[in-house]
Amino acid sequence: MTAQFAERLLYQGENYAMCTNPLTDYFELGGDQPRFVATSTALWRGYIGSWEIVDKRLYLVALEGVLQGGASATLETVFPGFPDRVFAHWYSGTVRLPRGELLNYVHGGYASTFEMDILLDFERGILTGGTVRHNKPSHANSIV
Amino acid sequence: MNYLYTYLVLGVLVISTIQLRLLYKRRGDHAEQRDFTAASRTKNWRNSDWVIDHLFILPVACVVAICIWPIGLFWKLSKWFDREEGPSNPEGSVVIRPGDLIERLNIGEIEAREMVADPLKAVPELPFGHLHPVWKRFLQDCTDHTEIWSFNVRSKQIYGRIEQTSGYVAVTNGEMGTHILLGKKWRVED
Repeated sequence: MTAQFAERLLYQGENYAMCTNPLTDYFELGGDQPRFVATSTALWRGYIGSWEIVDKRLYLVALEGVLQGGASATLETVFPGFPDRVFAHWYSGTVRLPRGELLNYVHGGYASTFEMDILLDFERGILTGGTVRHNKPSHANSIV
Repeated sequence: MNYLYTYLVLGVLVISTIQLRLLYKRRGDHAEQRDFTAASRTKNWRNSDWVIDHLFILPVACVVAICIWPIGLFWKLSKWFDREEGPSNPEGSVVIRPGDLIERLNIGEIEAREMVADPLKAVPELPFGHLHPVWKRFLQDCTDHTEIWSFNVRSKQIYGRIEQTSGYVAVTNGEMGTHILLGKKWRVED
């Protein structure tokens, strides 16, 4: 499987690639899932979400994808009545934001290793904490 | 012998067709992804992993694929047919046992507990927020004799990870019925 396109996250004024798919959790919890089309082998899930953390809350602010039939997906495709932002209250878990130099490329999923990972913990959509994991052996981990 | 040659030639044709189709689909790769892949491969050819991957594993994989092409074709066709059936059951395969039940609640208590508030109004002011339709479907399956219990299921997964799944389940005459999930969390086993 090809390495997959990451989601996007705006956090503390910086843009990050996010190697976690909180929207997948929404679908697994029973949320209506449109029929996305995998337009590329690097995008099997068929969409890319743009996220933002505001006041420690995780929001989905944009959704790009193609639906079966050729129409473009938007935020309202999944969340009718919410064209601008959606609070991700359903999500509890850890999102991973890779940073720095690519250390090891793996041709599959999000398995490639970067110099460091910022790990942000969420409980029902609210940021509860975070750490920085250094993947080069000489560095110690730190708390965000 | 002719049958063997025919079989192998068909294998080459099937594998080539699949590869060409993958290459055709990859034309749609976003420019960022192409740059990322090219940048990583520029460094890779210098290391032994690249040599092993491209000079050993790849040829062996091609030979194996040509020999067992009916399996690959069957897999590809079954994936194509499965796509027509639509999304799989979102409730998954959680097995809830009596020991997983936490407390019995009524509908009003649950709805009060699961109201979601947001200062930016980015969620419906309804129980379970954006998952309110899932809650409505859950209630449709409940009868006058149904008890609703909260639950928390811990199951051991591979690599020493524990998966915790929580939610509410409808219990009728002691039998576990439909459920609604609140979330899944992973943690490493102590």
